[in-house]
Amino acid sequence: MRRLLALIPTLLGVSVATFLIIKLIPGDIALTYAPPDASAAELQALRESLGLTAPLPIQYAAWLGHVLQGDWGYSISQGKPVLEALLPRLQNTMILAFAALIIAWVIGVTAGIVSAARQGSVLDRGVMVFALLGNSMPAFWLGLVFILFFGLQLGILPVSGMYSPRGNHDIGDLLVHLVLPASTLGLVLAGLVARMTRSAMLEIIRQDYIRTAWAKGLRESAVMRNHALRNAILPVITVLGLQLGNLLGGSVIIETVYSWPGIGFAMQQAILRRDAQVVQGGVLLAAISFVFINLIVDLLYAAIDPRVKFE
Amino acid sequence: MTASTGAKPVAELLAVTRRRAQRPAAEVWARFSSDGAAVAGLALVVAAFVVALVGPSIAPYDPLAQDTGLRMATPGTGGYLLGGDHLGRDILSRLLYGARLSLAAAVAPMTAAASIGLVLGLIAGYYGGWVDMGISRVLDVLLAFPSILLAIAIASALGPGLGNAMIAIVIVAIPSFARVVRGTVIGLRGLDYLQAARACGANDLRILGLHVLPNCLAPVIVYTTLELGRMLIFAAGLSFLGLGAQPPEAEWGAMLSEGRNVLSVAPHVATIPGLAIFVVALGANLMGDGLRDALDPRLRTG
Repeated sequence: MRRLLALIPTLLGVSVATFLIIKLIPGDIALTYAPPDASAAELQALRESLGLTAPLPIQYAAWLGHVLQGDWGYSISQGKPVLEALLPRLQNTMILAFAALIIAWVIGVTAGIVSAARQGSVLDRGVMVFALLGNSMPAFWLGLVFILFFGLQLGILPVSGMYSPRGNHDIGDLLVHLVLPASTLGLVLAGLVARMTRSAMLEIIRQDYIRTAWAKGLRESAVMRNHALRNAILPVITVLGLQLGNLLGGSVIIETVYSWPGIGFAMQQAILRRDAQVVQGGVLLAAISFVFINLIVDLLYAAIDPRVKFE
Repeated sequence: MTASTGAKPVAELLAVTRRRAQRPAAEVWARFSSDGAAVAGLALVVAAFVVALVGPSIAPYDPLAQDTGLRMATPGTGGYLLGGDHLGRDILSRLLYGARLSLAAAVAPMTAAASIGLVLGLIAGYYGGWVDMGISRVLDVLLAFPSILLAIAIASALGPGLGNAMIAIVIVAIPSFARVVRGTVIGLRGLDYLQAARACGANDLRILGLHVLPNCLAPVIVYTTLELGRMLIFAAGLSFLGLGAQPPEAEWGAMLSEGRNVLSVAPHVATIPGLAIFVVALGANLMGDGLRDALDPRLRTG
């Protein structure tokens, strides 16, 4: 509960920043509402009624009040309130980000452990090269290459959308559509996870208690998994928590590449249609999700590491 | 008189720290140049910068000229090394012209962000207290946003265009630079040589500029090189989303985005600019890793 209260200043800060960004939008909003033949006095009256002449803090308070009541503005391009246009898509983004996270996690941690256990081997070098490539690869380019190869060349995987246009929208169809976007996003991140896991493992396996475990005659898998990984995983989780933000951000780009109907795709469409309200709404929504995800990561941290306790 | 007797040993001490700070440069270079991957990375980055400088003068054709005969021509046809795009423009020429915009879109904002971050980090770290509190809180809020989303928000509020995208990148990149510097300065604050400088009567500006700043440069330079690859991808990504360079401008991210429409018939139009981004980012990452290892061998990863 105290942890939740601690989020309030962060969320307020995020809202102030979002509000200030909206204020950056050039042009006179009154002009968009006013009839074309409005006089200067009429425009001024309109500005006052819209609250545009009030001092910034007051404008902010009014804006925050609207946001808290679920009024996030109106999407011109979609013809409905921003929140109504974005909320249903949050779930789709979460599905994609979560699947990518699992892929990054499984591949990255496995590669990191193997690489650390066989330091200096060909396998280790291979993992490091993979990590480097993942780090240098633009995700939108990898996505295109995947589309070309798996979608157009081999024709085995769908390359766009969440469900087939025809057919029932079942979980199998969803999973097939998820493979390419989630792999693209996951692979790019897996390199970083592998690198982190490897260096954390290398640090741990030189410690005395690991030597004791070996001396007890434990099998390698037991030493690595039960003794080393338990401690090595903590810094990896921290980094992963930070990466979740990039995952949310990266999904904007990946969703665009694969036309995945999430927040990111909605934002990109809004960018092309100059529908700034939707873009700001999407950013605010993603930032709020990010803050809460970080809270979950913190709690997870405490669950894994008994030394970390929140009063 | 008393001041000079006191100042002399201190001045000597300061001179020694300065000498010691200079010597490792040769060592760092020796370590760096013995690392094949790092040198290869440096070569790639230098090559990219050279292309960015001279690209427009060595490009065989006008990057905007459209030739219907060249439309979606495969690489190699009729002397066009990389073929033509969907509008019949020479891809090689666009790539060479595009190097300038693509690199500038990452390097210019990073330089600006590094400078601003340096100043903010110096002030926050050196003065501490409420100054630090104020600066750090604002930076924390900026860091609470996923960086690409914050950049999208700012760039779309300012309106699409490369200049606005660059402003967005500056704002997004400042907090991490400031943090790196702030951390370094806090580590330096208690050290004897700063006390000595203060005892000599140096004012804050002199201490910050002459004694603190030089020690912050190395971390900033390492961080900049480590981030260069990511920033290249970041900037190209904004153009890809339609927020950075606008068609028909030759910029790699925008070229890739345009090429997507003809992906199934002419895959080279989109993949070639993407490959260019990838190769330069790879070079930057190799160089950054090498530099970090050379400066601090304990951090060696490979």
